[in-house]
Amino acid sequence: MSKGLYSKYYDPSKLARLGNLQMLARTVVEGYISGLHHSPFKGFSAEFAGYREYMPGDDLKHFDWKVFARSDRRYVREYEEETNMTCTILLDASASMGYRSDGCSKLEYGCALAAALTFLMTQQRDQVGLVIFDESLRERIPPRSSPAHMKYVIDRLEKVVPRGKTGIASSLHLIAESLKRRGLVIVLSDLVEDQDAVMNAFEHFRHERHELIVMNLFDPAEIAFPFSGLIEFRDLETREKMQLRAEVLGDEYRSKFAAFVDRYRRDTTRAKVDYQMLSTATPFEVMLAEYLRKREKGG
Amino acid sequence: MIHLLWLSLAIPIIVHLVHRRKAKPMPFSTLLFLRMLDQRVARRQRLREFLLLAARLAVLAALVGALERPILKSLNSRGGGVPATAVILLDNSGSMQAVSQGSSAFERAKGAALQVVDGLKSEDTAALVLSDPGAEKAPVSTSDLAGLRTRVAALECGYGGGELGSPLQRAVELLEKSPNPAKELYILTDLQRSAISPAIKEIAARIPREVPVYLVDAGAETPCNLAVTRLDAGLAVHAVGAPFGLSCRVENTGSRSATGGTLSLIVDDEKVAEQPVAAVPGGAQTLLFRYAFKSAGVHTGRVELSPDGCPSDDRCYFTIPVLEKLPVLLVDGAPSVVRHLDGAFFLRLALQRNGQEGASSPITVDIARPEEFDSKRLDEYACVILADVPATGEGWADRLADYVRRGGGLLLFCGERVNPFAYNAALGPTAVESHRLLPAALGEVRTPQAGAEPCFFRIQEADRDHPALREIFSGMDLGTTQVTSLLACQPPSDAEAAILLKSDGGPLMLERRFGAGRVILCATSCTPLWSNMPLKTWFLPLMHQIVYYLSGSGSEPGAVTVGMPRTIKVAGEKPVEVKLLPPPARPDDKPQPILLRSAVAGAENKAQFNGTQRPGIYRVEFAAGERQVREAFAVNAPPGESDLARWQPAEAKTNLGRSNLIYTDKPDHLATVVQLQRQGLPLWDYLLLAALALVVLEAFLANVFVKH
Repeated sequence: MSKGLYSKYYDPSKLARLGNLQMLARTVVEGYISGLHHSPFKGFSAEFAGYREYMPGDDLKHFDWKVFARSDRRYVREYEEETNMTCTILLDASASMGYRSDGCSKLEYGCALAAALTFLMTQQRDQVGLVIFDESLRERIPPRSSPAHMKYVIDRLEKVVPRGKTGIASSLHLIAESLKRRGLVIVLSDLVEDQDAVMNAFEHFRHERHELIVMNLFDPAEIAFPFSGLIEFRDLETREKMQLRAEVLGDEYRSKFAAFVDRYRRDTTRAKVDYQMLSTATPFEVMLAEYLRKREKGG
Repeated sequence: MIHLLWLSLAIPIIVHLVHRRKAKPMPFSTLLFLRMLDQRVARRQRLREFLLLAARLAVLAALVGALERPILKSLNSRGGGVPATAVILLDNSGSMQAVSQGSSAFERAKGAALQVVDGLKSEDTAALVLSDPGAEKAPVSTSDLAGLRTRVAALECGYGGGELGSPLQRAVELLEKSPNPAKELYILTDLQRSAISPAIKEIAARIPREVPVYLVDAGAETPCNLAVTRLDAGLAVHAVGAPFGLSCRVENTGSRSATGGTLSLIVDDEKVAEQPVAAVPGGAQTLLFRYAFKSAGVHTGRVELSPDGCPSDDRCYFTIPVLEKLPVLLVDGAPSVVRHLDGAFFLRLALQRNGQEGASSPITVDIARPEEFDSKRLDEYACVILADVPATGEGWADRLADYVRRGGGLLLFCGERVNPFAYNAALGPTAVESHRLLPAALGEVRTPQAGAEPCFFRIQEADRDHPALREIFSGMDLGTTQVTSLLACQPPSDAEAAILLKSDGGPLMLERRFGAGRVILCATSCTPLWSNMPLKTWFLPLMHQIVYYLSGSGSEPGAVTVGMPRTIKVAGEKPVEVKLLPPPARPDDKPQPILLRSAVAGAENKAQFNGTQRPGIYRVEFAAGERQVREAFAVNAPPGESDLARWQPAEAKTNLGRSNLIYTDKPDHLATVVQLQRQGLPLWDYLLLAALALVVLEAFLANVFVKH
């Protein structure tokens, strides 16, 4: 396997781990993945591709009752292309996303997740686009479904570096204005900004009838605040410094953080936005499987 | 070297600063959440850390400070090596004998004085000033501290008054004379109210401000104290067989009710009577003893309370001269063969009878007519009575004035024959000043108005406290006494005369002191012609009492208080040796006789004794020609010393007018107090204790209060 795309994000071992899950089995078999992935939009073409043997769990609406009646064999029909969904992944690449306490940074984690989603959707013939933003729109790749596009997207993801200040709300508004076709929008960000403004941006997407999935990325240290002693915290974006005795303020921090996340969780539920808080300590494949499972239920 | 240890205080500061400077840099995604944190938590934490730092600094400071052995010095502290003069004003008044908590106030004060002396250095000087110096010489500062200590240790409490003004004056003078740069004044007293009067402030103001004044309160509350505060034998002269009344006032000056006590009468060392005594705090009881002496001579005695908190006032002594016979010269100005019209008949009968059946009167009456007066030697009579004598003859005024001035008694009865103008001219206000014996100017005869009801005057008032009257008129109704005539009497405005009896027609009986003697004037007659007094049952005892009273006019008081001089009159015209035997200090002591020499001054030959420092009977013996005269007089503690009321410390300070007074009510620990003032308060013990407490505090702050 060559270097580049697959070396960093499409690591076979990760895919193997993904294969332990139900979604993985369907991802391996090209086209089968669509059984897990119910696109909310029907495609314009649905060409018959052939039969395959029925396996328990297959949707009965594709079961060929005529063949079964004639030959007493159980087949399901397969189509060349089941859906034609447009998905846009919005990746926050501001400086705060570059924070890491151990392991990968939030941006790396977000890029991996974006790559996996891109691969997954490309396999399903869905069109995948990518927008990288910080306080402004840094890069915009329109949705396509070709493997070359996928390679291009993943290649761009490999080169993303964290910099600049966060401007989530303004960037999201810009993106929401620019998306012409309604589709699925996946936001990968730490969302550390004014929550009202961010929720307003989410509402903008919903107003444009996009389906919105928000993956709120945090480093485990940001969640647990495991620091102690006198620490001079330096803001990665503003370079601002704040000296604190961490063990004194730990409880207070965790309380504030929980309230922060809870508010997103509450407000996104009300706005019919899928919200998932992710820790970079959690293997992203698990989160991907969790996402697919969630998508399947919501299907 | 120890000073360098103060540098150790820098250690926690440096640790604190270093600890702060070593803040670990930590890039963080955002400070959004950190900014949202309640900054009060951080501030509280900083405050706790500051407290912890302060506690650690305080621990170190306390430890290093303790090693420095600091001393807290007051303004009164004097440096070492400076010679000092300590003036010890020791209250040795009678109230200091009050016992509480097992010891007397004087013993406690004496112990404190010894502590002061023991605390002095060899280069220091000291002086002892007693509130009751007695016969001691004027106090001086001495460097013989050992001798002073011996003298203080041998001191016994006195019985005299405890007013501290005079001794404080002496103490201030000693301080002023002292050449030493450091001076100290110690006032060791029981804070008896009568001892520290507000007037003492002026004297205390002379004490320089830099002189520390120690007020040592050696007194304490005395729960129970009965005191004989007054003893009144009434008449100065008594006769054999005549009833003798002794009035005793007992007061409870303690703080609890006194019950179950007794007051005993002891005459000539023999207990002759006893009465129970009970009084509430502040209350008083008057008891009356009656006794008749069986023999002539000077009898001594005392009343004695059962023992209580203050022994100095439990006894009160008296001496009573008892005469075998009492010669009286009765000048009858209206002799008559008709007995009841005779001017002296009723008087003679009254005086020559005793009143007790079968007993003879001690009074011998020598009746004389006015023309016989010149032939009589007045010195041979204890009393002279002029009964309805029309006027004094030539030279009478001189003789009578001289007689009374020297202590004789004169009783004048008016009557229809009396010429008031002649009396006024000879003995009254119009006479020469040296002859003005009469208590009042005599006026015209006064009778009730014709037709008035009743047709006589009644006695309205009587001085029932008068020694001559109280035995007779106590509780008696005098309303039945009728006075049909009397001479109007106008007492002088100078209040030298006292009205003993007063009727609705004017004064009936008046008294006046003249020289050493007394004169009593009766405005009515001693016959039934002007009043029915001679017919009254009380006439006989009244005449006896008046005669006794007048007979003792010139005698010295039977008792004096401690510290007062006593004059001893002797017979003869040449100085004689007077042997005086003071009372023993203790029952088994044999006091040494004191020899005095009398001195002739004018017509008097007398010796003066100034050593009445101890209550008791002082016996006197001297020669009068070939005859050996034995007399006695009593000395009693001043009744004011029985009043154990005390000043509050703040009040005493106010009276002394010293704001920087060093007060202590622990005389047993005076040495500590003095050392504290002289050298200061050693602080290291307290600092070590503080360090210990701060270590505990630091542990609490470090482990509980401040989170790590």
